[in-house]
Amino acid sequence: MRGARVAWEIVRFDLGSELRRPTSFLAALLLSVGALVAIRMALAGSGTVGPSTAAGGLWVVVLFGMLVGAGNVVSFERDAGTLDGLLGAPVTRSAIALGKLTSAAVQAIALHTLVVPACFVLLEPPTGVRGILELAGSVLLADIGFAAVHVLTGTLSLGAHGRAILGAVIALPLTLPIIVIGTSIALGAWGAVTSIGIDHWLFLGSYDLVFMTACVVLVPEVIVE
Amino acid sequence: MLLPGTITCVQPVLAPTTSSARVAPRIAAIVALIGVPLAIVLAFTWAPISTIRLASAGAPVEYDFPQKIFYLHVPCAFAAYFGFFTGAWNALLYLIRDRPEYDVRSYVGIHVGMVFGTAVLVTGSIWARAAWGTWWSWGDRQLLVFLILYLFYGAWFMLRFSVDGERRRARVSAVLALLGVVLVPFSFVAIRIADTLIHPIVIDRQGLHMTTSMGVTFMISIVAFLSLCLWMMQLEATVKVRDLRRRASQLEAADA
Repeated sequence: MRGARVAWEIVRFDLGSELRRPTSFLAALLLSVGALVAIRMALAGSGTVGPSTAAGGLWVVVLFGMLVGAGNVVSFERDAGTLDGLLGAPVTRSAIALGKLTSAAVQAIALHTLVVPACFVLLEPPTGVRGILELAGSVLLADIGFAAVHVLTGTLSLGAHGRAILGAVIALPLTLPIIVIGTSIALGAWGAVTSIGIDHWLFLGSYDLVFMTACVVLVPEVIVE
Repeated sequence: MLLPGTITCVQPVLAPTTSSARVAPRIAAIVALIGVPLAIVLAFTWAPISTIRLASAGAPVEYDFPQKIFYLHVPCAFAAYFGFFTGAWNALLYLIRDRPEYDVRSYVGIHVGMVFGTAVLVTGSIWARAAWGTWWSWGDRQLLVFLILYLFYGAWFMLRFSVDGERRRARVSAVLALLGVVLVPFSFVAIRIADTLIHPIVIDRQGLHMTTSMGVTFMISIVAFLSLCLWMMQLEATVKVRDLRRRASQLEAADA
């Protein structure tokens, strides 16, 4: 219970800071929308956006938005000089990991609440309400997995030279399975394939569960020093 | 001042106490030195050019002479996975026992795994060019999974060489190496769930889809390349541990 309360306090603090000075959120939003505009402009000659381009475009934007924005919740503490204070507080490292994970996930979901509709407008809307719900669900589950991976890799790269880019580079291969499944779901949502099975959702759920557990268990192992 | 655990770990690594620890690398060296040339000779002289079943098509597909690279490509993949697994296993041991010997062995496992991984990608591309007419197929998830792993371990090296402090570097590397183990099943499941598969499948629930000569050559090749991998890991580990001992001695002298 105490761990959950500590995690909640960390989430509140992080979101409060981001609301007062939404630097990384705005940067991620601008990058995502800018990328969508660039894709649209690059396709202007052909006039149409196919399901493959829309699905690929959406997931590229989701991935890179994460790298710039919520993926930096841990390195932000180091840059702001507040990491020592956080580690010195009488709380468990697992609670800190859980708080950071939740904070990153909430920020990612907030970002993609704006980016996914922008993708519909700038590229192409999916086919029907079912398609929209499938996309929203897959991005939501992906955000949780991304958040867990980014908190983990952000912590791993804390003591490294060039940690800002390194955390993202390490996170990229770890998140590729989500992209593979996410694009499959997106292709279904845009009508390129007939139906998406339950296995896609089970995969995303299992991925989230495993990496959330890994994050809470392993972050304390490396954040100690 | 010495780092905790630096000196105490060195002696057991340098002087293996069990006879199996001394004998196993020598056996691996002998098997590799005999097995690898033997496998190559058998592949080119005894094993026929095969028909291999494609997972997507179902029907057998006739391959041409470049199919011989199969006897190099698949064993290299086995050796690469063996190296990565060894790296992860020693990373786990490092986290449990906190002895630098395991960090060295973890590094060596992943390093040798990457060497064989590079061979897998190169030989696979040559085969793909001959069989599919293209150097790389983005439609084949099995290729993508291996690429994901390859990128992951490339990033692992980046992280390892970017972290200062031996203990911190070892700890961070160990945790990331363990994540590689988590990544493997997820990547494989992602392939299966996602659609196209044009990669040839020669081993499935029904067994080996090969003639006897092919199967024997293939098995010899697998054993030979795994032995080569083991031997390479042992050689590199010996050099690294020697270096670890030298640095420990220097630190000891400076401390004195």
